[in-house]
Amino acid sequence: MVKALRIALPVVGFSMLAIGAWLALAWVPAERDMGAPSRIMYVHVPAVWMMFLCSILNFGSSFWYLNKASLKVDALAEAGAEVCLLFGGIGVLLGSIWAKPTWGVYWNWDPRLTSVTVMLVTYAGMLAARRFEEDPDRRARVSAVLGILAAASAVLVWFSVKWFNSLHQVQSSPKTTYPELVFTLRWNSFAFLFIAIWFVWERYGLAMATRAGEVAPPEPPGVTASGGAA
Amino acid sequence: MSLPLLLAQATAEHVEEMSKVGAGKIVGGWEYVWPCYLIAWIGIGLYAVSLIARHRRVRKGSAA
Repeated sequence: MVKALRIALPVVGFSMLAIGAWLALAWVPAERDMGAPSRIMYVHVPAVWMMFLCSILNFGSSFWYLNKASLKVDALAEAGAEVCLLFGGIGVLLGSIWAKPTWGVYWNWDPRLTSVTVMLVTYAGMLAARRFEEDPDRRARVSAVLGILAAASAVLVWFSVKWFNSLHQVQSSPKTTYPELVFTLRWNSFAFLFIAIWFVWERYGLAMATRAGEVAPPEPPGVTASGGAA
Repeated sequence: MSLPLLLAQATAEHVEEMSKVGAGKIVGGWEYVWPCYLIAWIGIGLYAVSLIARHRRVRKGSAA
């Protein structure tokens, strides 16, 4: 069952992504005022949503680790942080390209863009710091603290468009959007969700396999691999 | 410079600026759409490949 799900997730996710591209680029009408660039929404928004989901996963795991240290929880936090950074990077890059035809510039130190940059730099710093610390417990604790800080910046990213005077639009809801646009956005979001779950799953497995190598107790001196005395 | 001349110059500049605004609708823009989709697909695809490659490397390392 688990093996079937591990194969089904990427198959369904990538198939939905391909159909989603057709829906977004050919089927759905362009938004009235924004025209063709509005189609960027169907990859930009799901990517950013996945960034937030993975950030929540990292925060939960980090908080859990500080309360009850566990290698599995630390592996889950690491997986969440890396996938969060991937989708966040894609989301910001696409948002920057979308900004050119709509705002006239690729980048602007707007509150939303600044806060998301701080958040992604925190995650990148956390992943880099993990590589420098060899003690698994200390590494996990430092990473958990950074994970909680990064989650605090994620809250700022979410509310930045409401709290500050931002060029970025506030969050839309299905009630304020045309049904065709909502359907295409939901389709692509589920495609990204299945792929993100698969990524986290695989990355978690990788982290656990790496931990197994790290925490394997060294063989006592004078004992051979077969168990006999040398 | 006389006032009527200044007014005429300001009006001409304003008309020129407003002509750049157009009707408030973006025309074209596909050259921004394609790179976005390519970046998303390549980014996701490369990460998937990197995960598979790293898994293989760890499996090989643990088998050795």
